[in-house]
Amino acid sequence: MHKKIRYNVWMHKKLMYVCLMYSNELIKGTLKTIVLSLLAKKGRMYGYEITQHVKEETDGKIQLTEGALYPLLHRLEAEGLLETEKENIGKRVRKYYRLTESGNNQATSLAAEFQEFSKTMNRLLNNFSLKPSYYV
Amino acid sequence: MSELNEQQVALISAYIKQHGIAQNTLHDDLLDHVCTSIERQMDEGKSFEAAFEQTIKLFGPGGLKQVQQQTFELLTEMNENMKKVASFSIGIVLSIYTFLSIVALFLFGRNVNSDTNVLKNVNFEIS
Repeated sequence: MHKKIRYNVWMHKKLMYVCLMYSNELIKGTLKTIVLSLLAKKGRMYGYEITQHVKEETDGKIQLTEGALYPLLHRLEAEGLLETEKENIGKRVRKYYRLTESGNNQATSLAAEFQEFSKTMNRLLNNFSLKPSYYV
Repeated sequence: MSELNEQQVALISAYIKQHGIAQNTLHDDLLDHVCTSIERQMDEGKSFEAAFEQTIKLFGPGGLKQVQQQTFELLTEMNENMKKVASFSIGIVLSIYTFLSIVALFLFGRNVNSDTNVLKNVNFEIS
């Protein structure tokens, strides 16, 4: 038991969700929202394409690692939110991920939830943010 | 656009398997990912070897094995959640059943007893 906890802590320290600007906790909580809404917009994508797209759209502020992306994709597929289709590219197989109907619903509701949350956070932080020292 | 040849793809595939990726679907994902990443870097003028090394570095200190470990943990977590939901609903059903049987006992239990008492009395009188 102890060993497992220590392992988890170690994993988090090893930058599971490598990202240049935001804390792991923030990224971890929003990764699903990011991936699902990207797929809702783009239709079907393969893994590498997803990482590149996120990187470009955020000016490199969010960089998904393989260690974060593929486990998530596999889980979302197991949950029935994504489906895959395979295509042969030369000597290898490329797996395209696309939203199922329930994945689409989930994408919409997660995006709406996050936008609402971000509005609330903004309001909260604006009300309570530290005033510059000359106001004191 | 550069495309890796058969030999190079086989080399990368062997590398992924060698580093402990047992799961077939994950192997396909990672193989395509690594190949695409190498091809893009070769488009920018890098050699195959340099691009390969650079791509592997991006997997971080835990390497490929960590990707598999994380996938495994996420999927078991999901199964455990499903087990929790199942045992919760079984618990609910059982407690409703117990509650209803207690209520039934209170409502009809006495009547049954008093009926048998009446019958006993009747028998007594006859004898």
